[in-house]
Amino acid sequence: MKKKYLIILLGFLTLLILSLLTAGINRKPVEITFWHSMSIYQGDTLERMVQEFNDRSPDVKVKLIFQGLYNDMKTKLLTAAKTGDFPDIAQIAIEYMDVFIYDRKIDPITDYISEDDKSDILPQFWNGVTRERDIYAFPFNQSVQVLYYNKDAFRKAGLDPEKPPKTWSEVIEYGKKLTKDFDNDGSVDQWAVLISLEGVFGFTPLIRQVGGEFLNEDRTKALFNTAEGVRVMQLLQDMAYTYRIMPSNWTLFEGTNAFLQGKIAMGPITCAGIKFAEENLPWELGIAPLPYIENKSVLLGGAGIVIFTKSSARKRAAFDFIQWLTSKDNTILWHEQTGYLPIRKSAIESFELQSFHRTHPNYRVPIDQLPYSRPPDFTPYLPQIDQIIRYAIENIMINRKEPRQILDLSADKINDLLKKEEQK
Amino acid sequence: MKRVKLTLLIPLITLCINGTLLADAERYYLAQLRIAGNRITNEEYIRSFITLQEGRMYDLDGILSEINRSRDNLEKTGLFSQIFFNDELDEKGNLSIIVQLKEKNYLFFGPTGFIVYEDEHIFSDAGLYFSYENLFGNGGSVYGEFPVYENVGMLLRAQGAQRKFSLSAEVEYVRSLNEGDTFSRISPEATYRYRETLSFGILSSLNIDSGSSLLFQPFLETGRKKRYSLKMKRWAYGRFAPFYGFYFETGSYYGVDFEARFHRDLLLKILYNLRVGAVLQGGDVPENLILTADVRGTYPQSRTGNKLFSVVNEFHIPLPWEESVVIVPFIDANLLGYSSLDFLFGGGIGVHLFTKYQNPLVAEIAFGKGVMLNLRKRF
Repeated sequence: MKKKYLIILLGFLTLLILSLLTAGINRKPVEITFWHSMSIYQGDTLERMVQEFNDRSPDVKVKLIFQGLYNDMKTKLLTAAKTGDFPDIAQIAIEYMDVFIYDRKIDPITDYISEDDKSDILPQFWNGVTRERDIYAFPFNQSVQVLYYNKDAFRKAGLDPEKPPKTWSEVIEYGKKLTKDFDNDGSVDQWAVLISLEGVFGFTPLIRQVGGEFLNEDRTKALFNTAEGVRVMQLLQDMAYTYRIMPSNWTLFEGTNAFLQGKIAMGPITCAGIKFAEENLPWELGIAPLPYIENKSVLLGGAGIVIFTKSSARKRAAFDFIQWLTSKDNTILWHEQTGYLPIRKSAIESFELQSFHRTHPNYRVPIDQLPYSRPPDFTPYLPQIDQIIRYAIENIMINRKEPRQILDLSADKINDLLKKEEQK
Repeated sequence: MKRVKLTLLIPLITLCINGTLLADAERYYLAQLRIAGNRITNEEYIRSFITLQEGRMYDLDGILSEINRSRDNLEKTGLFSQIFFNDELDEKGNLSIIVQLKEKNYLFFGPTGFIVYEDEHIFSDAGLYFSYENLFGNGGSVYGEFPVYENVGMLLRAQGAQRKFSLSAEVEYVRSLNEGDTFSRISPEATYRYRETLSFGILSSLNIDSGSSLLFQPFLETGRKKRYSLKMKRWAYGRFAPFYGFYFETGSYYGVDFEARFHRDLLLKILYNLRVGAVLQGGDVPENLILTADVRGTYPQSRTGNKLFSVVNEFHIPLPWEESVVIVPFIDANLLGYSSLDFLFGGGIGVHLFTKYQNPLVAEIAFGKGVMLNLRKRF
């Protein structure tokens, strides 16, 4: 009898040990692959944050892989779409998300988002990742353009560095004083301003500032070949050729380099560069709201984190990481260490951030622009449309073509593209 | 009559407006101040830098100002890589502030010394060093250097906590393996920080070699030696220290020591560093205090004097794609001698590698009277 009890006891103990061992084996952490587009100091900050998450989280580990900037990321994800070799999560520019939504490569994550997150994250950021009431990405690194200006150049030109221009007319007025030929050799040594004429993203906020729109609400027709569009292009031509305060043919890369070297006094640049500029410029940096023509309007850009994995367990793990990455404290750190906008109300209202903004007032300016920020007009054809607009701007600015004619031609091309989409 | 009424009315309205504003202003009762994330640094030491006070009422402006003052104080200690003020407000309106800190690495070690080929001879001074920059968790530091080639011995320097009044001491013992003679020194130092950028103090030094001597050196320091924030684009430091010493057996010696450093952030974190120094001595100077060449690329002992004017110029250029690697071109110059001064000149290029335990690891090739591989940092 005793033997029988002993056998039962031994059997029970064996089962207990086996179950404990199995539990141990099951605790192997889930590894999530995260493709990202953050380079230099932003990439370093993201790496540090992911490292901290991995140190803290026993159940989920994140493998961070840099896949180039937004455009490269889009190309790599399109390649992955062909082979089905997607990462678990990826950081995608909000304007490129539609390409994947249209092809049903990503599912909505609306149901995963808590009410707390929905109310704490500002509506502007949800707008960037929402299509027809469905949320497709979690807002992460969001930015708006602000006016960067060289306070030292303002002082040298006799301008008050604490009173930057508010409108583009004031930019022209200031520009006359800021454009300098220091050695009198006939060529300009310091330009007043450079507007990044980078396609849709440069054009859209300006056309909205004069009451125009880039595309119609249904995204079936171009609306920029109107008096408003012509007015914007005319303003740019005037700045380059009539007032001669802006170089006509500089790329964003050339402009940024010139700005670093103090050869350009001001220009609209993404707020994501504030940290870099403050730490790397030898002169005092000023940040002001983007100047306006008639109405205040800025373009909301940046990226969200998209979940590709279809496995519910991995999806849950990915979501745990994303929520940690975008928590109140990490939102504050991300903003302080990069310049990207803080996405949460709780972060903006925190004493940490309010006190930080007192000593770093430049970081506050993009937040103040949020009430009049809007994302671009989303369509899966935005990359192609962007190319058409870049070509149009090049023709208007470098070849000095008639804005109306060029805008009409571009609108026709874009309408054809959108019509094809409608016919599908 | 109307004017009298108006005169009374204006202050009354002003008072009402102010009263309303005061009533509307948000006020917070700071119930608790917590420190988190400090594994090594003493909580009491951290609290000494925080100007927020538990049990006090603050308005928003007051609390933000005190947070920034405290943050600035903590940044200046150089002990933390991250300082974060988290706030929690309970239902009763009581505020808790949690100071969340991330500590830096405090332990550094590596090789030190130089090898120089000059006049068909090889001279060297090689050793190992370590430093620990948060001794006893209160911001003190200890530095140790151990020569292992030609000379053996040790140099130990301990610095107390960074407070208004601080003490430090240096102990050195060196024995030459070739000649067998020894030198030892003990140098206690007391510093009083009068203002944030102005300190004064006194150093005394007991030197023992063939004879024994005692030195007294009051000093005045101004400016900042180290950069504590990238917002600092220019900073400078100066030290003026006259000295008087005497041998127990024979005569006395005296002189003055002056040093000025200028640092400027040029562009893209490229730093220009300039150090200008002058030492003038008179009297019966002990052997170990005799001035030697201070130019990279030249064996220090090859030239001596009792007057030295020195200039060190360095550009620190971090690689844009890897900021932990810094390229350092440099030029040094000396005027050194007794009655007539020799001009010495050297220059070269170095690589400074910043790792978790090296701050930094230095390797420089310098050309002066000879060719030198230098492993010692100058700034």
